[in-house]
Amino acid sequence: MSAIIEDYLRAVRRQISHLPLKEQSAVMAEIETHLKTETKRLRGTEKELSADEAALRATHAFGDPKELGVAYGAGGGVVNRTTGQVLLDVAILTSRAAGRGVRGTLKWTGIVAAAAVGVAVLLLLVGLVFAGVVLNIFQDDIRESIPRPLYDYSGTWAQTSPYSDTVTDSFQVREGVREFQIAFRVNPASITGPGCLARIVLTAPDGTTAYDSGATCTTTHQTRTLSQKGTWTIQYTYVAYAGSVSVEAMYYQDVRQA
Amino acid sequence: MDTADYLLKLERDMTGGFLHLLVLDHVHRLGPIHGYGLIKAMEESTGSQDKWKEGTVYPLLALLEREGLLKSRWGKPTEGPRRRYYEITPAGREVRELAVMKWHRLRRNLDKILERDG
Repeated sequence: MSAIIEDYLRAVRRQISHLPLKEQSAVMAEIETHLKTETKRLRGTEKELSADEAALRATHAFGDPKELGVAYGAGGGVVNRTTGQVLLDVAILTSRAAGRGVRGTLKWTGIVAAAAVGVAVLLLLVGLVFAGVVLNIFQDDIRESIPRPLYDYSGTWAQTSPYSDTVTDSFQVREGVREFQIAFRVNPASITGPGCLARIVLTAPDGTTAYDSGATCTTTHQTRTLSQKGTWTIQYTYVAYAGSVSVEAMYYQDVRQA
Repeated sequence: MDTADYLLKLERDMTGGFLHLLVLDHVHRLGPIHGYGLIKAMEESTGSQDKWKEGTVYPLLALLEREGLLKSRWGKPTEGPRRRYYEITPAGREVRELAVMKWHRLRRNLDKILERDG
């Protein structure tokens, strides 16, 4: 699979992390199939497109991962609800009328099911009490081992002629953070002209350079574990042609800090 | 924002407002159909590929299924890449018919107002 589609799917997954896991998997499967199908279609109709260029067009047409995350939210998100609300109100009234006929039939089945559920709940409660005791003993270790989101960024670029653009971003690492892990991914697309450069530079709060990918024309996947507290600055330099960049950081709490 | 940009935005807003009805209608006529096929069919019948972001349709399908207007099933592994096929439910058919009636009424009223204003 194209690295550009992989990066895009990673960005989407972060935005739909509020959904139940099963639903997340279903959404990701649908989107992945859509993007692969569309990329294949584009390359079939526009023979001069490279795999990465087709992937960029497909992901761009699909939309911003952040907007997708909103659209998959509880309220239905960015989809215009003016007409939709009319349709849904009618649907709710229709389904209530159908439900009245079904309730009587389910009554006795419900009583038997309730007894079985009661036994299962009792067993679950016993298990939960035991788990609670174990959790109490190891709570500090558990809390320190949970990765928590600290920073993420993803961007793509596609130009038909050489250009240069720099984006500067920053994030805070507060007291109470034991350490954080940051992953960098640079995926330059296939070259359609001379030159292919992209660069990420991460600067620590004390001004030292913590990471510099260098001007690179090759796919780069790097991870660093860092711990300095304060404001970190990260600079993305896009130079020429096409590709994608993503950076994701997760931090670990220092629970036992005095 | 210049006139051309504004008109494009207006057209997008208008189309987006009726996306629920467009989706229900297309699934009613073409179902069972997977999301990709539905999007392409909608682009062809509305004559455009830039009225909405393709990703908007999938959350809408999920919403309509949650509300009982559509149902879905996953395709068999032998049928190729993993696809979810959607079809309309009886409740969805009823909602679609009512929505189409409301749309015709709305369009007649709008036409009268716009003709009156010249």
